[in-house]
Amino acid sequence: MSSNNEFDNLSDAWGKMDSSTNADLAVMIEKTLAKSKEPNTVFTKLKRSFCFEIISGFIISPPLIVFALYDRSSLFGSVFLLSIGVLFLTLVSYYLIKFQKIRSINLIGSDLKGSLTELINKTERFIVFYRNINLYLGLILIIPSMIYGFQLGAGDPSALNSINIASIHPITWLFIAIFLAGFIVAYLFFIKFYVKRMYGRHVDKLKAQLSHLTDEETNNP
Amino acid sequence: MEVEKLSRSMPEADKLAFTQLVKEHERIINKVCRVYTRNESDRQDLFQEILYQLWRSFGNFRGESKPSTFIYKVALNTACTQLRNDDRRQRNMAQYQKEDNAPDGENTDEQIQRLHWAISQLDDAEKAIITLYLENHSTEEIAEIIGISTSNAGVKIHRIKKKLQTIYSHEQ
Repeated sequence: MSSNNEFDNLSDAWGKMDSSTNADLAVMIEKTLAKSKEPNTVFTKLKRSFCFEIISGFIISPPLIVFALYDRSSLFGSVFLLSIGVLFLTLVSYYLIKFQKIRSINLIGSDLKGSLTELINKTERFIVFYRNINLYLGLILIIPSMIYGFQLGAGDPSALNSINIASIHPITWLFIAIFLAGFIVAYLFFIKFYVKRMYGRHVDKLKAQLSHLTDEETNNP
Repeated sequence: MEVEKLSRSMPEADKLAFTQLVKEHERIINKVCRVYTRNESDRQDLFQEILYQLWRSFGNFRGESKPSTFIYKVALNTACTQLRNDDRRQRNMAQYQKEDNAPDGENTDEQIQRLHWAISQLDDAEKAIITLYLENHSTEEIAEIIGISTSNAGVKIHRIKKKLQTIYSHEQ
């Protein structure tokens, strides 16, 4: 193609393209209106991820709370499990609110740039919150989890009281410190990877599209 | 299921009006599907997604814009935000090129095949703009549907045409 005339010829070719119609269009429309599966959009994928986490939260939290309330053998264990259960339920409630907000985005009422911008902004705000809350929760819960794990492992709630902190060998402290440092680094990487895998890649794709639309306006305001 | 609820709550007359609107503008949906997908299976999926989104937004369509503009907005927004799996995309690309190199297929018009191949090299935003341009929309209409300034739309059209020319010249 070497000239505009040839491009105009392509416009003619475009005009001839796909002008055929579906004989069973009405059936297809009926099926679409009746089908139970939502389309495979980025938006739907995000909703599915939220749903998965909301359902997981609702399944995990109540047993933890019930167990914490009925298990009187260890006060520390009860408080620990109760805190985790309440925390999970609070988070799940927050996810539900966020989920409703993302669900309400009207991808089609706006122009393409507007739809992309709204979807990116809302999703990014959610991702930042999600990543931070998981990071802080993990870091806050690691020490109590280790203590609770020790109690469970010892099989005796009072085992914790029998430990003489002063008698712990410095090498043991060093191992604990190395384990904690290793765990924290691995956890940070995991959360970053998980968030990127679940949500980040879709947002990156949407951002790339948006930048293609806005680059000219940014360069020539 | 949101769309089922909507479908039940909408009067039969609206369903008929919707079916009529889709029938009249089916060609637009077909073209958008053709531009954004590379095989028949993906094309069917996208067609259904667009129908779903059209139905979802049909209640809000008050006729302020032309029906074709409404259809284009919905179709392009859906196509540009649809989930893409990169691996699947790569496989589809290979399949698409294989299909294009086949001596004869359903579409015998070489010019149309070349046009499709060239457009498939563009990014999603460029595809949206060139689709509207080839459908003889004015620069102002393209700017409105995409949501950019008219001058930006003009510059982009010019650049995409040049890009297509380059793609064609490399092909030859």
